[in-house]
Amino acid sequence: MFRGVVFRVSLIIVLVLVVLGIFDPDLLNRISTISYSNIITHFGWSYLLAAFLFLIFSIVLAFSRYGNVKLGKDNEKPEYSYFGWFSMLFAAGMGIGLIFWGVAEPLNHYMNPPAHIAGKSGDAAAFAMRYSFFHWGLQPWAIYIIMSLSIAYFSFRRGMPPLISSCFYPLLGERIYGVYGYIIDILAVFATIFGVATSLGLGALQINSGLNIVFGLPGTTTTTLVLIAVVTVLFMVSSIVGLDKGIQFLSKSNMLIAGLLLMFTFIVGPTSYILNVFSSTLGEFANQFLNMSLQLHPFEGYEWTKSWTLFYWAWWIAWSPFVGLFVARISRGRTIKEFVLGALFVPTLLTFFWFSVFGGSAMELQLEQGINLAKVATTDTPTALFAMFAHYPLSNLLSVAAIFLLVVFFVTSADSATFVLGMMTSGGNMCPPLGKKVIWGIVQSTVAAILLLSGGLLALQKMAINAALPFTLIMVLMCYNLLRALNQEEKEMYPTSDVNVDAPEQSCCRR
Amino acid sequence: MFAKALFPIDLNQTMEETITRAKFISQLGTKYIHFLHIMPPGLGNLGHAQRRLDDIAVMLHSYGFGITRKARVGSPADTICQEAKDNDASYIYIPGRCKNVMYYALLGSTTRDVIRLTEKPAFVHKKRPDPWKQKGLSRVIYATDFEETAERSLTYLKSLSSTVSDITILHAGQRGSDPVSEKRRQLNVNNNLEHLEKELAKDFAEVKVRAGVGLPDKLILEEAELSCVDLVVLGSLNQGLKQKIIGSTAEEVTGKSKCSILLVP
Repeated sequence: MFRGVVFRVSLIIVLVLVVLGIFDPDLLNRISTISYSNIITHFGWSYLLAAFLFLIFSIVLAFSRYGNVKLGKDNEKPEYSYFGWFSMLFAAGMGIGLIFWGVAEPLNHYMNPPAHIAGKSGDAAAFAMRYSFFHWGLQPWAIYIIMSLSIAYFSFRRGMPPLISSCFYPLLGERIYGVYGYIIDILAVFATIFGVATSLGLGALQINSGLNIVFGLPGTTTTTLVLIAVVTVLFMVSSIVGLDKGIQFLSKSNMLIAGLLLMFTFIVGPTSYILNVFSSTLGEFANQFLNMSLQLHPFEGYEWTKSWTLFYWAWWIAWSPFVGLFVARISRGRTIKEFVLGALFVPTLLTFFWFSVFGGSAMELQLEQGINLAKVATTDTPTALFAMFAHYPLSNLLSVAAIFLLVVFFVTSADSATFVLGMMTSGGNMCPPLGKKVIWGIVQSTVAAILLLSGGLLALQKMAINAALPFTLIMVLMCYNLLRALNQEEKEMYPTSDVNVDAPEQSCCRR
Repeated sequence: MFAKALFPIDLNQTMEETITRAKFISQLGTKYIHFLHIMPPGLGNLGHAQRRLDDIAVMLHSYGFGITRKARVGSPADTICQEAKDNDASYIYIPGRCKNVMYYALLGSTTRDVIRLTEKPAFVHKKRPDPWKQKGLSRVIYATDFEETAERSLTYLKSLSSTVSDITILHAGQRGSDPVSEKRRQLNVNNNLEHLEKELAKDFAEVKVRAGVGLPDKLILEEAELSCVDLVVLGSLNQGLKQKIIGSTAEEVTGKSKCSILLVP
């Protein structure tokens, strides 16, 4: 179990950073802040350009002659129904974040837009909605698509282990089994473990806020730690028992509850206002898309771009190994065209509607009814959603539903992360050893808890985002490798009839 | 294969050098030479150039060559290609000259233009032939991708068997996209190379095979330098998008090689 280089090195790096975070959180904060701000300042443009490139690449690929290539063998059928697939796509890619930011992000932009827009103005509100769409729209999904498409193609069609390093075979050959491959996979583990740990920590804070508002549970660190422990027990049980259908059931149920919450807010809330917001923001988004995609506001508003757009782009890239592996797994059997169009447009449209409902409702309370929700959103972000529900009928029930959604999203995400980390550190084994899953499960919760105590959680998030810089290059090269492999496949350069070599089948034991 | 050469000539070169080069190409089997001198529009004296070409023709007749000649005004690359077509030349013999980087950057290269435009084989002679050497070519690399143009260049290669003794067959390919495809590719390459080796062993004294993965131009140039070869034979028909953007393997090898190149379209 301890033989794997990727496993050992990743574990050592994680432990070193955690120890640093416990004993000297200020030092960890200084290191991560300096490296983070330098990377964003000097290489921020590369995130913007790369994300736009990934989007163009995905769309061109979908409509190219390679669009009909299957992510699996030619006769394979998709494993999941469209509803199941979209549910899991949405849950893995955005779910938790949307609950956290659905209300808070538009209000934050409304209060503090870039310098060239007056805060708390009509322009600021339109800008806030447009950029919320942008930050959670096409580019994040294009980033995930590049990662998952490459992994799915090389794993399910080319019969290689489901690892990011496998996508580099055309370029590196057998060297993917050496230092180069290790570096790529260790970076992926590093980004995943810290990404999940910080999400777990920040999510636990939001659940705690909700419980505090609904049930008056004290919003102390102890309560948050207890919450992390409970969530850990839940996802560890799920991970150990291997509740394959259970997780699927939870994901689908969660989507149904999220859908009910969305529809309730849409119907009970200012329906026409929401539709106005949806329609006009969609129009503005379409109109300004190219501008937003390449806009860094270098003359005025660069600080805002660094804090929001570049942060998000780096975060999506850092988060992409985990989501990419998961999305690849659930997309087996679909064609490239179906995969790209499905993963790009369906979750994006759902996200737009989500932001229109929650962000639009919050804007209506703020602008039309004079309720200062924006202040809550900027000072105590996790409570913004609950503060909005307080002005709706059945507010406690809505808050409980939101808390339930958060908990289930966390259980499913952490369980998936445990599985993905186990797989990444056991050479792409689709049935990772139980020991490794337990170790990674405990590690991610412990990291979240300890750093929540020591105050190093945000520092850790910045460390995870720092991994986005090398990953940007890795993903650009993934595009090249994928294109080369598709090109070779099209030419049928070395037909199977010439020699008797059969591709190994990848099997899986769960999920 | 090499019966009739189109020889674009610079009239500044000495008669001795022209004779040395003519003797060299006679080793390839060339019996007829069509000399072509091209002048830029508005510069030079066409009548004077024609008289110089007549002198060269008289001299080379005495060496047993069939000679035709023409002095024309126009763009060098286009004129060379057109003249080779009109005169039904077997190939174009291009005496290579070392030019510095600035020259290439500012003015480009007629040789590169010719090999891009012509439908005829082009022999780019990089080294000045040694008049005292009995054989101008002894070691040759035959670069093949097993495609149609490489097949065509094989015929030209075989016709050099009287002067060439040592052949290296070089295949530079792209790695397969997964270990299984790579294994298939390697087996396929080995089979093809083995077949070629057997075929060429009938005509040449020593035949070696090399296979590599990577950029073809880089591998060809490395092997040429390592084996100190006199000539690289390769196909030159590259029309993919990549070639349009970064230039073809043939152009790259021609531009960077220190040894001579035979390009077969």
